[in-house]
Amino acid sequence: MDCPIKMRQNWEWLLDYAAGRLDRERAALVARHLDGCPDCARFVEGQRMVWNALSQWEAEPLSADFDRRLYRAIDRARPVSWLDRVFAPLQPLWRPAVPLAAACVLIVAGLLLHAPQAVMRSVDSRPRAEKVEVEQVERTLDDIEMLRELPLTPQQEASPSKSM
Amino acid sequence: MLRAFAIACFSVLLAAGGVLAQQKPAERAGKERPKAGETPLERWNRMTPEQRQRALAKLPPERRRELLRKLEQFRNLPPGERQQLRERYRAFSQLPPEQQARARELFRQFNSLPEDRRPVVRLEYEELRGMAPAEREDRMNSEAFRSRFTPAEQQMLQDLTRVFGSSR
Amino acid sequence: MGASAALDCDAELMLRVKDGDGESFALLLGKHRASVTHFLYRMVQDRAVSEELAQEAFLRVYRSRETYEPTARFTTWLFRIATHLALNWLRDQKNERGQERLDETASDARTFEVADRAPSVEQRMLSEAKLDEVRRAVAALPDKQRAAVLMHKYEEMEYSQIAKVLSCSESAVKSLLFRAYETLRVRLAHMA
Repeated sequence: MDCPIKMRQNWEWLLDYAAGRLDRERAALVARHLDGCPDCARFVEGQRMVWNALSQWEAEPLSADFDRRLYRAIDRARPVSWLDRVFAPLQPLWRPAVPLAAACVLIVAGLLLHAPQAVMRSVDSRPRAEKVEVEQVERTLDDIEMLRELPLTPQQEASPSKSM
Repeated sequence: MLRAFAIACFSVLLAAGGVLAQQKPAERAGKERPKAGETPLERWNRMTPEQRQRALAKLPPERRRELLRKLEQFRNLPPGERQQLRERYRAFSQLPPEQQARARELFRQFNSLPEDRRPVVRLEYEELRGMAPAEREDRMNSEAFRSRFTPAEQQMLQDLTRVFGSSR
Repeated sequence: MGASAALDCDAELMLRVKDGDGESFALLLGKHRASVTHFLYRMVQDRAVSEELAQEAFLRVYRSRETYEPTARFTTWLFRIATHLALNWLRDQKNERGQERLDETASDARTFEVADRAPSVEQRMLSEAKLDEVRRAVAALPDKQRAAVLMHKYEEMEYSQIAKVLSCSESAVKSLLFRAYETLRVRLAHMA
């Protein structure tokens, strides 16, 4: 067998040998090679140490409510007909539905006529709000850097004179 | 038919209501001063990783790198120093916007000083700001003060202590 | 039951989930939740986060049920989702928290102590210290190397399967493992 370390080939055989995962035939080949190759023998010894150390790291049991939380998340994600979702609480209101709907249209029309700019501004606001946040963070960090260099905050009390 | 009409009207009302409700948050977002007790950095920390990624993606690469570098720098500070800076920042952010702008301008001037002069000016500023006004004035009028600092440095120290020095 | 028969079993169950069989999803969950969560825990070294990520992984499996096709082993697909979630989370943490996560590793990990086999206080402390070393050594590995080691050691995955999870070649996986184990050998040498 060619030396896996020198030839940089099949080195994973040494790894699997150290882990006890190599098939019998290859394990026998590796064992014979190790007898005459101190480099590989050292590698296998080191690898066994790592393997045993990693084996100490046992897993703990999961939380008792793991499944319950997962199923709750699945329920939240489950698509429900939007009609059913919207109208389930409104079932008792169907009788006055038409006059109610007409009133809604009038209210919306009134608001749009009254404050179109507000509507347009607020529609545009979401992407800008994120950018403003980033710029504010930039400014905050610049201010913090400044305050680190110079304490540019009001001094509360006069301290005793340090000049001698 | 009637149901469809009602559905359409109700949807329009919901949409308009939702859009109009955005007005207040949009107005708040335009203001520089953070909400009472919460700094932009704390608001940033409350955002989800996805929101932060989206926000960072809007910056040009250089500014994005710079922001991340400064965030990392701040987080790597010793906890005591980080807390002190947080308190300083809170006090600073309570100042009127004009005073904050003045502070930033003074800091820009300070930063334009030669590197070896900055620690000297900083030390002097820290001493002066702790003095009572009368004592401070005596010091700044003294020969020793005038010989240690250039006219520009003297002016800077005067401006700094006038704004941030003790007034008691 | 051989590996290929196991493949058929999990894929078969998932195809039933695709047809709307919730019971089959429960069976898959029961079979794989522990290994996925433990893998994620060793990746992120935070119990709460590992459980959240594990739930997100199963949620994505469930959400994808209608388009599921058994083109690979079920576990390959599941661990690919879990690994991506972990790598994304780690990347986000690096961007925002610097060194804090590694510093917190030790104190968080104390809630996951190895079951005490040694009666004496000194032996218990020694075990804890060694375990802490192991956790830190793994946490210090680059993310992809860490993922490869955890799948190789704890999930006993073959190189070909790890390659599919990490979307790279088998030789790339072997390189990752070679470098990772070399780092661990050096770092943990004093424990020999």
